[in-house]
Amino acid sequence: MLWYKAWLETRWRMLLPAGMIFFALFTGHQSKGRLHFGPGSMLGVVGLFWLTAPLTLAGSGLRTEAPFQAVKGLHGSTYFTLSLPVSRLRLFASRTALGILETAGILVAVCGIAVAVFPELRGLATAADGFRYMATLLLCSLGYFGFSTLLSTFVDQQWQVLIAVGTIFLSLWLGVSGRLPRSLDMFAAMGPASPLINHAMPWGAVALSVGAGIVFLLAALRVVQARQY
Amino acid sequence: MILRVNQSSGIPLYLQVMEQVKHAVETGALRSGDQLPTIRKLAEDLVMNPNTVARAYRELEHEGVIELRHGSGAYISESVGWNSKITRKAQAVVQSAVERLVASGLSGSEIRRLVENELAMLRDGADHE
Amino acid sequence: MSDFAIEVNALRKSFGGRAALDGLDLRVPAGSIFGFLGRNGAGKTTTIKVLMGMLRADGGAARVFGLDAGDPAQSVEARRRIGFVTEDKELYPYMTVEQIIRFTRPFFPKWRDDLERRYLKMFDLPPKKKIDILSKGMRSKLMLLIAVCHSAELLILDEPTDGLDPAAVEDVLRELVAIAGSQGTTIFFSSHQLNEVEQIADNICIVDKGRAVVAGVLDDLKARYQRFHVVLESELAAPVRWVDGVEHVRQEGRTVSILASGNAEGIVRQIESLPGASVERFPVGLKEIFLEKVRSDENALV
Repeated sequence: MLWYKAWLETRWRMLLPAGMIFFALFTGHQSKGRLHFGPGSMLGVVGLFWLTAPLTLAGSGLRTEAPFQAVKGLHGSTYFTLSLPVSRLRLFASRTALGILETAGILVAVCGIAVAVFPELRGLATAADGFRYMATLLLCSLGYFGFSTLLSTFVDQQWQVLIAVGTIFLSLWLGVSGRLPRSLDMFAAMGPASPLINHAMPWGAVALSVGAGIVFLLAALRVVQARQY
Repeated sequence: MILRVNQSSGIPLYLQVMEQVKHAVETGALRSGDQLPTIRKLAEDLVMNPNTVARAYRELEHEGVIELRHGSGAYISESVGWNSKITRKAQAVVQSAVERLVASGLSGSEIRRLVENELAMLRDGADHE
Repeated sequence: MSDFAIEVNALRKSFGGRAALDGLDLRVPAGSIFGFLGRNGAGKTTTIKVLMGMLRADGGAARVFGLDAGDPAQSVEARRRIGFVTEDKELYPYMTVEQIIRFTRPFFPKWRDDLERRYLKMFDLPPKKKIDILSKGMRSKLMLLIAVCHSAELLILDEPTDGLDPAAVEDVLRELVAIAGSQGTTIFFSSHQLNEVEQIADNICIVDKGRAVVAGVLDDLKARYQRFHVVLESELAAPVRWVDGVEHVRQEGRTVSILASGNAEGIVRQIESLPGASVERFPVGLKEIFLEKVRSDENALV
């Protein structure tokens, strides 16, 4: 039932990212099937818009209101949740798992629909590369998902999204300005170095993302368990 | 059973319940052998704590006003008549009358005959309604 | 196996330098209806949060059913057997009445469907309405329904009748009494409504500034506490050193009012030793005890 509650809380949040990704794929269709990257191109836009998904769907399972908006520290219903005979680990785990599933679900659904609706997209790559591409997108989002979850444990949802978006632009800039090695650049992995072009998985970036994601999620879990409400 | 307790007075609630049961017995509203509501029912009807009602019943049993029969509930004691105020008053009347009759020279059996005679006349009077 | 549903020993908790709990002791007998009283900020909600595992105490011990409230795993175990109503009665605003009942039910295998139906009807709760449009009174009733329906051994209720009209209050009190009577459920509730506490509680505790100032069986406290009105021939020249049992003394001219928590005979004897004293004795209700124990009285000589 915790999954049900998390679903009710987050289901409408899937609309915006889904819409944005669909729009990005639409531009690819408009560009008549030419794969290119850089600002305004399909792959660049998809990567960027895609990341809105993990950001908005990440949560710790316990609703927070910003301590620095400080009227109430906590949404009242959190006390009801905490009164249930459920460990905080279980609350956190079910919410996180659902968030990841929703994220993956959007990706699969939107890509599937886009490929069906925009025949030009089909010719862009082999099916194998297509699946590698989706896997890359999903795995590269885990780092941001974890970070967003950690943010949700101590800030309000608006701030959570805002700060996380800021982080995306920060990491985009790190890649573009060359401060980050290309093999670790997630935007390269989702764009110019993606499986659609290189026909191989960008393991460096994927590993970085998954590693960071795990670290952030564990930190978020520790915060939730130690936090006094 | 109609009881009125005042929870904000300083008088312990269980004492109020006891007092009202005893008062009901004195005025004849409750008679020997009458069954009292179960603790749970009385507590619910009066919206009172069942433990408080239970304490009142325990004390009443301790004082001999009620009997708790296992399985069937609480009943006013058979012997409760001797504790009621009316009976005590009556006892005083009988005591002074007997003393006066004995002082004027009558024997115990003579007094008994007089009393039974009197009671019989009352009965006849009632029969001739 | 403890006779006490809740046991708290020397509990301490501070928030940013301010002590919310300062050595609180509490013992709630199993099967009792326990009234937890105190002014706002006295530490009632903090205590309840510690019992529910939401806050960790700085010192002392809190046990529910003998389980340590500060240990996360034991706290989960305790919460299986506790029904809880929060202070602000907030539930998930995006769920309907029906949905939140369906959400909560699987956590409690001994859910009472019969009580659920009964209370939905009695409290007139519209199943398909979203919680965010319900009034506070209706949310109170809904939380109470949820708390009661999972066959809890212990109900911890923070101001359960808050927001309810008098008829609904009576309904709630009657249901609580019925549950206590039929299931032996321990009911621990905090309240500002002294008359409600007097009506259904058999044990109480008054907490002030983070400590228990009065605790015990309510009927026994009423028997022990007395007020003495003393009229003297002339105003007292020197302050009297009162015997044990005298809690508060207020003097106005030749009249002295004494609140005592026991030793009535000793106090009466001491009063009679004063010149020209006449004394009247009055029983004391919970409101008087409460006000005397939690207010600092400038006129008090003791």
